Amino acid sequence: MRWPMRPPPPRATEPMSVYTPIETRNALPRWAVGLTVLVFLVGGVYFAGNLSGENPPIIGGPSPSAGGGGPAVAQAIIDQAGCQSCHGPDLAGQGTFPSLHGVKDGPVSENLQQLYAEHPDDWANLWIAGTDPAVAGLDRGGMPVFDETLTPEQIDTVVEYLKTLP
Amino acid sequence: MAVNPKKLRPYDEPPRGRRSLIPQAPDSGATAFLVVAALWLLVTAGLGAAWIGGLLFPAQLTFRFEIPLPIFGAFPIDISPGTDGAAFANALVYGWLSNAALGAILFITPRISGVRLVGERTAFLAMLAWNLAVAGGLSSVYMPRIAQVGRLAEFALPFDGLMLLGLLMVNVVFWRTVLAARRLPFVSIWFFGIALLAVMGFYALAAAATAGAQVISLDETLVALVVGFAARAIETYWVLGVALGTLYYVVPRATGNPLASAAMGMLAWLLWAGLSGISALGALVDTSVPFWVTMLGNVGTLLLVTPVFLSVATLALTIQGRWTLVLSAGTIAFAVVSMAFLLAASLLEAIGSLRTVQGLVRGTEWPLGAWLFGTLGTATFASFAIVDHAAPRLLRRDWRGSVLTDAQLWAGFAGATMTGMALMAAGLAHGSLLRQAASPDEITNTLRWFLIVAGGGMSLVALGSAALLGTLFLMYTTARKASYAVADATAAAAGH
Repeated sequence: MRWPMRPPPPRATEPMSVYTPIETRNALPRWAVGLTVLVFLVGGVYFAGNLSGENPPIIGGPSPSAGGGGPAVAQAIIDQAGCQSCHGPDLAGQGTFPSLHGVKDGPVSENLQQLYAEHPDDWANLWIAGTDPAVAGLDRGGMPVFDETLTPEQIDTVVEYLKTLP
Repeated sequence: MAVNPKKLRPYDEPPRGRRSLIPQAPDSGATAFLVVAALWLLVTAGLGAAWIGGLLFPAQLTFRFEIPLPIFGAFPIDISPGTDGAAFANALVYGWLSNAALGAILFITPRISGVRLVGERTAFLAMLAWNLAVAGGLSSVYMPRIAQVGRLAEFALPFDGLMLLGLLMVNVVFWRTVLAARRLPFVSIWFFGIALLAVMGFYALAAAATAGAQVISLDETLVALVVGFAARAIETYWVLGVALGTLYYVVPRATGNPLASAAMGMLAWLLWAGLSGISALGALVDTSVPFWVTMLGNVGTLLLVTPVFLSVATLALTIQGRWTLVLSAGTIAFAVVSMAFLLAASLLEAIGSLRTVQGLVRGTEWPLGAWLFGTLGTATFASFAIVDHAAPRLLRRDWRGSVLTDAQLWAGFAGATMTGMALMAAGLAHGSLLRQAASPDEITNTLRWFLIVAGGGMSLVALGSAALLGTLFLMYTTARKASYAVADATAAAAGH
């Protein structure tokens, strides 16, 4: 096929840019058309059957009554602090990093049980901040110290939000 | 007057031509992109191994410290599994795959459009801009103060600008070449055209969103949704599109057979171009997005199986009669492995987009495993195929392969398969354990075994990448010089 309106440009002189056509056959098999139509029909039926529903929030689970700055602020702080990079996009854990769901029932890691027993109300705040003597001897397992990057109020907002996750 | 060359003195010799700092010889851009790509693959595999190692031993492989800088003050550095993971994904997509893709585009376009690449210097400058940006961007991922948030959008803003400049330059070179073409372009060019425009557009969209979050305090959720949408679109339009375009070129070239059906190729192109954008809607998962929009995106992902299947069928029919080429490591073996991964990855993506499956694997390692099948599998092997085909022609060497090519094929294949399957299996196990309300310690202990296998796979990928570099080095230093200059009529037969 040629483009009719364009005059042919000068031939390439360099050996590496010569025109080397790939021969093609043009037939479109019937089965290809049939397969395409069939897959689209299946897709259409699947779409029509799954129109109702509701998306989950972009991270975490339901958060109807998070205290402090509210869930949106908490999510922004979590975004900024990069919690998802270790604890997963849903904060449901990944690899050896534990899930942050169920924080309201206490810590999930063995090494935090003692801290929980001694500070049942604010163990999570102490753990996240990471500078209190109560957490000084604990193996942080890669968990950063957030005392300098987050204010106590921000940590409180995040903890309140985490407590709303199922 | 005849001159006796024996009597020539040194000052009689004609002056040697000066080499320009920015080369403009044919294929210098393509050569540079492909060689740099091979280096990036080794870096990528190293980052991948560091990431999985960090997930296994977080306490030992997490480093946080501050560098005192004269102007900025104490500058925090964060080397952790989180930043390693982000660096790995970006190095894979923007370092290895994008360099290989841009090299492939610059190699293939003049050969099937019939004109020399318009703007060889611009292409080389684009390579410099792109790789400076990727190197700087990857460094910035480890600097929490300047790194951005969002998948495949973590680079600091100045590096985004440099990357977009590189993409713009390649786009200009590509479109000027195509518009000067003598003939209606081959199907690969159609894939490359859409892919190049899409990657520039969607990368700019993500960069604008993250800049908006900083400058005018755009809503965080909106920014996260836009960045997620752009990342998915870059994967389908850019990573998948260039892989398809490359396979459509290398398979008929390396077999010497005509493309079995250009019409089927164009149908696949049309479906891919339409469905890739729709598929990206599936990344819009939030309460603020109507459910049917997300579901439409999931259906788009489901339907993407069609162009993939049509392409694989066309290419398989093209290989007909030359299947023995698969038995030795080389271009066709790489292409066939890529086609197998392509089929597997599209089916896995389709399964992962089903509502019931999403309920089980959302937030687990499954999507990552399926993603690695597409990137470390499909796109990586398509790039291996074009490098294997193009490198002797670009370096002008007579090269018949070596045991290193076998090592590259098998280590790469085993590595990508192990890593992808281990992470997908980890995702299924993770999802099941969450449903059974297993304790986090139990989940962690179970996942550890899958991560060990994934780490082994990543090490094999590193081995494969070292074999690729070794091949290029040996080809350039030990192989006999050869000219691949061919005349029009005999070019196809020569497998140029």
